[in-house]
Amino acid sequence: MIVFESFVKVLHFLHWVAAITCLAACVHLIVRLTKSRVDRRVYLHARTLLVAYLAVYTLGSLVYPTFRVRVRAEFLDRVYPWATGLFEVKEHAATLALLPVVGIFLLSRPLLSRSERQAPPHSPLLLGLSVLVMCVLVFNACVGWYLGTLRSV
Amino acid sequence: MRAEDRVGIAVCAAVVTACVVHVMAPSAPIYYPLDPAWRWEKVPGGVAMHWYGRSAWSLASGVLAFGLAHFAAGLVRRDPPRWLPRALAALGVGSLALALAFVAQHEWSVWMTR
Repeated sequence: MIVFESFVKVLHFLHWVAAITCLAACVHLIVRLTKSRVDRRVYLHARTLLVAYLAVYTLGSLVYPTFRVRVRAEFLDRVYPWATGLFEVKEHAATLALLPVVGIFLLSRPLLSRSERQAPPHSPLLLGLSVLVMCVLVFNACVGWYLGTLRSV
Repeated sequence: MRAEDRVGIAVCAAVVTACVVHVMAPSAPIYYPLDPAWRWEKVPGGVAMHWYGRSAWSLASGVLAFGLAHFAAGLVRRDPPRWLPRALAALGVGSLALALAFVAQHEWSVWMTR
């Protein structure tokens, strides 16, 4: 008996929905940041990204045991070991991007209380972390989709 | 020091610490989904999941570094230097990029060449 296996398809679907929300929020965040670093909607997108990322990370953690046994151990490790490598990069990248997502949220909070012409002091860190998180999200979405075409939970 | 600078320093410290700990991969509990059980030692031939323990260490160390850096920055009374935001951006983004590159290179050498 693998934990959460009985409703893994529902969890996987919600994982997919949260991932799309993450991508949309991050694209909006970067567009707002590059157009104007004093746009208060940056905070809205950062908050949406944080909530969606926490959801996608938690749901992915719940789906992972079933994937590890039914997909990876029974199929990928034997037939497509390079696909296992892609998945491992995806999972580690997801962990490495979690604290930057929290950081993006915290760094965007001062935008709520600043005047229109005053950019936050740490906007280079905010923009840099946002671009790297976007790269991780695009990579993870592509790998997640591709692995699903090989075999899913 | 302003609250914004304290948060910037703390975020940078958290990201750098989490990246270093994740790359170092210290000993962590391993989850065995078929048992299901957590064990510290590796069982030969078992389906093992190292990711939970490794992620827990790196995230916990990052949160701890955030708290310590936020507290320490609060003790500084003078204003931060003008180059601080760019230095924090270079350090935070650079360490994250390096950690991602290390993970990709490591997994490539382990799995892609089989």
